[in-house]
Amino acid sequence: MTDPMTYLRATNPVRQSELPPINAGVWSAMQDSIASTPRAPGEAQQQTPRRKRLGKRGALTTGLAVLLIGGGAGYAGIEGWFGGTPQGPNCLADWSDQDAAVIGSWLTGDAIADCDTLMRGAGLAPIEDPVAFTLQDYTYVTPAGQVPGGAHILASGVAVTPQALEMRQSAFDFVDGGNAACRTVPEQVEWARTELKRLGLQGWSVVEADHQDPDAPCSWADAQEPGVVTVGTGADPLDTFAAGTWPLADQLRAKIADRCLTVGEAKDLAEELYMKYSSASADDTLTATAITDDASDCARVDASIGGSVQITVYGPTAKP
Amino acid sequence: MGRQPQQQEPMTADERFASIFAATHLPLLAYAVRRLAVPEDAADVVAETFLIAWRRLDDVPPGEDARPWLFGVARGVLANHQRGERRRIALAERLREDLRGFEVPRRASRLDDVERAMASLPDDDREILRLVAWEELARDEIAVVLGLSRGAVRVRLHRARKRLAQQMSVIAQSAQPTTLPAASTPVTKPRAATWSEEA
Repeated sequence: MTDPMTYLRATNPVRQSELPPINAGVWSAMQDSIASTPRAPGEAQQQTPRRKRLGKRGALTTGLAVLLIGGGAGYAGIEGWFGGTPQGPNCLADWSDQDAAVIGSWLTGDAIADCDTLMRGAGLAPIEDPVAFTLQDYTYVTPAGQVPGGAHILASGVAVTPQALEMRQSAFDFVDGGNAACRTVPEQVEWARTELKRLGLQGWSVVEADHQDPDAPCSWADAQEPGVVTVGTGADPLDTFAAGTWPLADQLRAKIADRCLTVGEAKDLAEELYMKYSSASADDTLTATAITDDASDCARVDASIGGSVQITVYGPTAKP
Repeated sequence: MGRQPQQQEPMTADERFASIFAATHLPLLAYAVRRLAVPEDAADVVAETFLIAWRRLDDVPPGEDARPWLFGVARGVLANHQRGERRRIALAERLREDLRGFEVPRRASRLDDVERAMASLPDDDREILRLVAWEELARDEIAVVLGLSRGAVRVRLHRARKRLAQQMSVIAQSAQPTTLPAASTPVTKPRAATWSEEA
């Protein structure tokens, strides 16, 4: 039998020699642009790697200055502005101490509540007297009194409505959402429209991505941009996710989505199923996010996966 | 051939970064393109990886170890990207333009048994096997990428290869395609309730 590695080498999708020609000026411009940015002292980097993401999602691998580079003049005039992630809360116990920022994905859409969870998950104290605000399309939480000029205060702390958050999670969901089946682009567009209707999200649009691969067998959906669900061609979810994902999806569907549970029951069960069907070690527990929806009869569940699994359950606190 | 004089490590940060950039930008681009559904997204991954390398230049190992170290950083950037945390970086725009429209060559064997077998393996197995087969990294280099000891890499690689071979054997014998559990399952959800909260 031929060595499987020989077969695997043959599946290399792009050899270096097959990359498209890139103008040398593109590379030199990138190199020069990067080298013109401030560089943190190496010793300080080694001794105080304090900027964190939510613990189990792994170490933060990106400097927040990334977005400052791309920001250009529009961002340059904001004192202390440093970027962060546009797709989740940026939590700073001290606005002037950017290296201590904790960032993560949206959990509930309430910036203050999510920062509280993220800070605790990172082993840090919650932000004192927290205030949520947006600045240049980014959402931050800092102590009151540290809000920079030009910020828009979020009085309620809610940056993403529950409906919009559920649409985001559902688009990535592999239990019964956007990643649960191999759909054609038209099928995914229809699925997205049905989801928008289910969630009562009026005024949202479903658009197709600029780049479409006619040979791609399936599609993806992304609802991270407010008001828009983007659908594009993509790989089969079966090939995208690890095989172990699907037994977990089956269990979450059968034991939560297809039954009638309270949100608390669903959360406990989701965490238990994750430990049983993932390859997580005993000390690598998952904390599912529970969002109370007392107007619903039964709990529902979304689970997405990238570097790690994020599970969100929505439902009533008591059975009808 | 006479003995070459020993080359001095560039002394300034700019020179060192330029040296690393020159040696690794194409392997890094290939690494990212191989792992992304949309090739131009590799531009952001490459730019972000080099930004991190610049900021952490003192952490970048000297010589040949710089490449696997950068792959390790890129791996984390990709994980964030695949989790939906996509960043658009202005300085990557020109590279993005050059990559736009690039179509990944289709291999005759792309959907054969080995790919199905790979799809059934855990993420860690797939990545270590690809680092060998696609990136052609040595064990020591893989240890740098994954942040593991050389011994751990050896064990993991052995087990991953064994599992790959087993899966290929099973697939060849059964000739039954793996099915997506949700394919025949209704994917609608109960209607959500309305919330009173508004942003």
